[in-house]
Formats: sequence, structure tokens, C-alpha cells
Amino acid sequence: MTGAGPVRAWRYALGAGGIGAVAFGLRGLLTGGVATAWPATATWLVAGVLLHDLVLVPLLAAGGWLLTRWVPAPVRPVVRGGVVVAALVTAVALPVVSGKGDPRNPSLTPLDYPRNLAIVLAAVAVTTAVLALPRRRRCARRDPPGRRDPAGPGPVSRPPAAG
Amino acid sequence: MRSPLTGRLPEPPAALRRGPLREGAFGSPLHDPAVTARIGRWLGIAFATCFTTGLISHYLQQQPSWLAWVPSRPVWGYRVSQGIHVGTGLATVPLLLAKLWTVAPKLWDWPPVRSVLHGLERLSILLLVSAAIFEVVTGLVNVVQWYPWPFFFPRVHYYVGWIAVGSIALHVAVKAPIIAAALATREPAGRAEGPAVDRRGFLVAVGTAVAVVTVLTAGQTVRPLRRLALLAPRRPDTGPQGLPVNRTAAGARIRPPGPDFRMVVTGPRPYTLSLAELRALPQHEATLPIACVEGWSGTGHWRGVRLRDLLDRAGAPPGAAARVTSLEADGLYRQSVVGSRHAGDRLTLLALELNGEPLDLDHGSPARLIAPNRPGVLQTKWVARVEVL
Repeated sequence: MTGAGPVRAWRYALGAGGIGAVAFGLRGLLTGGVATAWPATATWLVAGVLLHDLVLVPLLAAGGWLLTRWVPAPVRPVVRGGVVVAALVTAVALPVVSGKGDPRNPSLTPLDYPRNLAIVLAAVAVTTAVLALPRRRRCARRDPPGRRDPAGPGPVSRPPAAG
Repeated sequence: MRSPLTGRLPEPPAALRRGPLREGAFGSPLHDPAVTARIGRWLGIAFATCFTTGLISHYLQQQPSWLAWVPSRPVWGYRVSQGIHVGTGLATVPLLLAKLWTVAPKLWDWPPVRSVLHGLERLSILLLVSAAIFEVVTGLVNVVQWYPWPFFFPRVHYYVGWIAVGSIALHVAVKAPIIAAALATREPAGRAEGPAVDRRGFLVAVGTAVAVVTVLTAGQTVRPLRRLALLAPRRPDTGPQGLPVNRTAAGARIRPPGPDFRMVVTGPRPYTLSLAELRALPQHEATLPIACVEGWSGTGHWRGVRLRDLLDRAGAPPGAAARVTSLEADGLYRQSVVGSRHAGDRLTLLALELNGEPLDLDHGSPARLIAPNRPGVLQTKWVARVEVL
């Protein structure tokens, strides 16, 4: 760590406090017996990071690459924004849409969530289209479609295999 | 100066540098410290908020004796703190996924380990990422009462929370200069094209996702927003007698109590009460929320017997605490301790009615505890026994 005087001291204190908190958490998991069931907890900890890094991130990269291939550059930021919002909202909605939970409790997940998610995604799509159309028209006037490079200077990352 | 911690380790053969490990494999302008630091700042605030409110909830549920000073007011205390915990947790999902996306290429750094210190730092980040994903996923799944794991959720969520905030603190300490420099970066103003637009657009999209998620779920505890709560697992006015239920009578294997039901009150002068005798005692009203650990809350108009009246009649000394026990045969929450501040509060009732009707069996008929500023799981239902402590 670099930095002088109080800044340096502040960083060391924060780092040391952090290590202490991590140690407290790990100790709690390892000594918690059946309640913390550490082999299962460790499996979930590792599985989460593996699924994220080796499944979700490549999928997102592939999605970004498709976006740069198919969506014309002028509207790409807007379309990407719409896709990002739709994907993130869907991620949060997955548990309620899954229909899991206790079916004997009618006050738990009482709504038609697949329908509600469809409404939300439709609203995101309409908003994205409304924001994208004027840009598209403006650009179409400026330069004919044939001259646009669909692969463009890619603002979204390409999957490793394709670049 | 060459120290064993920071000395450069030999680089692996270049032939191994393939696929995502190649230079420039990730071309997006979103993989940029300026974006990472901005989302990271919000994510850090979100985790700190979740951790603080999580500690509050954890200790209120544990009821350690050193927390006996916790007041029974404001009545909405736990409702607000737990609403913030779950609301912030839901907002963390977009922030965490976006933050991790901006640093995705870091996983494929070359060489993988430059020095011992670098290796240790990477291990701490592995811990950070796995703990953060774990907290967000288990919390998200818990609010629909889906438990696809063998461990006890509250305990593990608590300890992994310590690991998450601890490794975040360490991460901020290590990266402080990079973070400060990145936050000081300003994109050149007035540029309408190129990476600057992509970065700004991404931040706007992530912020929009957080706002959309919040608006579509906050109605489970913020009543005026309930019509917008399209993706919330609860509606504050949906359930028997217009109030949601966490554990149903069927789930707790409770049958409607018969005429032989007796409320047992123990203390210096123990006694028992039939349901008719309980109803004949002075009845009081209280408008109090049920605030669940899962983040929803709803307000009920309760009517019943004051707990402190029952304790007084049993000869309890002033400032006595109480223990209430449910008809439930088992379950973690069949008993709860009512500390002296809550037990002495005039709003703390053994409620017999909700919203003008006899209590529904799912709400704890014939009698349930309802106290101000208290986690829902400690508002014991189907109460059959009250002990002076």
C-alpha cells in the first residue's frame, strides 16, 4: 500500500478491520455445526462464483457481441440500455416467477408474476423503441444504410472466441 | 528493494496465453475503472446498509440480554429497518451484476499471479465475489420462502455477511488510490459519440434498473406504492383479514382450539383463563404493523388484552419480562421473550381480534402477541402460555 501519513494509516486500519471481519465470518461458518453445514455452504459459495464467471459472463459477452453485429451504431447505446434494464429486472424477478415457495400460503407470491414480468418487459421495449427511433431517423438522413459498418468499432466486448 | 511478498514470480509459458487470456480479448469500453468505481461506490453503500440493518435484525431476533435496553418505540422501527434491508438487497442485484461485468477481464489477467502479494489479493477478491453473490442469491430466494439448501438461512446469511463486508473493506483499502483516481476522471464534455457515450449510457441503464426494481417491489412495505408492486412477493393488504401471513396454521400443524382451551399464566400468582374469561377482561386497541424479516409489512387494527394487565394479575414485579409460548408442537419461533420495555408497553397486546373480526386461525387465533417495534417472527401466534420471568 502506498500513500502518506493519515491516509496510509486509514487504509491499514480499514484493511485490518476487513480481515478481522472475514475471520469472524469464516470462524462462525466452520464452528456452526448443523446450522451452518459448512460443506454445503462452501459448495454454494464456490458454485455461485463459478456459475457467474464461467456461464453468465460468457453469455453476456455473447449477447454484447450480437448487439454490435446486428444493431446499427447510432441506436446501439439506447438498445443496449434497454437490454441491460430488461435483463437486470428479470434477474431480480426470477424467484417470484419461478413459482417456488409454499403453495399452502395464499398470501405468499399472490400475483400472476409471469404476466407482470411480461408487462414490465414490454414497457421497457416500448420505451427503448421510442428513444431509439428518432436517433435512427436522424442518422439515416445523415448517411445511407449501406455505408454503416454493422460490426463498427465495438463498444461492447466480443466473446474471446470471436475476436 | 525486493521483498518475498512483492518479488516478481516467474511467468507461465506464453503458449498458455489463449482464449480469454489473450491480450485485448475484452474490447468493451465498459471494462473501465471510471465505470467500476462509480458503480462500486453505490454497491459499497448498498452493502454497508444491508450489513447494518442485517445486524439490527439479527440481534433483535437473537434477543441477547445485553439488548434489553432496546425501546419499544418508534412502533415502526423494525418495519423501516427491515424494509430498507430487503429493499436495498433487491437493488444490490443489478449493482452487483453490473459491477462484476465491468471487471470481468480482470479474471483473465496475465500473468495470473505476479507476486505472492498479488496472489493473496486475488484470493481475497475471490472470497469477496463469492460472498457477495451468495448473500444476494440466498437473500433473494429467501423472500419467497424457497430453501433449496440444507443450512439454516439466517445463521449462514449472517456469517457470510461478515465475510462480504470484511472483504469489501479490505478491497477498498487496497484499491483506494485507483478508486480515487477513477472517481476524479471526468469524460470530456460535449462528446456525442464513442466510448464516453457507452459508459454514460451503461451507468444510466444500471441506475434505471435499480429504480425500476425498487418501484416494482417497494410496495410490499410502502403501502402507497402497493399497486405498483408487480414483482413483490407480497402485497401489504393481501391475506386473511387483509394482512399477509408468514407461517400458516396448516404449515405449523395447528388445529382450531376447542372449548377446553385454557390460557395458562404463570408467576407469583399463577392462573388460567378460558377463552370467555379472556374476552371478559378489559379489551384495548392498538394499530400496529406486522413487519416480517422477509421485508414486507402491513398495518393491522388489533384488539385484545394488554400483556401487562395479565402480568400484573399474576403478581409480576414492575419491569418484569415475559415469555410467551405457542400451541405449536415444534418450530424455532414457538416461544419468544418479551423484554421488560415491550412487556410494559400499553400497546403490547395478546390480540383476539384483527380489523374488527375475531382473529383468523392463520393470524394466530385464539390469541397472538402483537408488540410495537418487534420482528414479525417474534410476534408469537396461537399463544397458550404466558410466563413471568
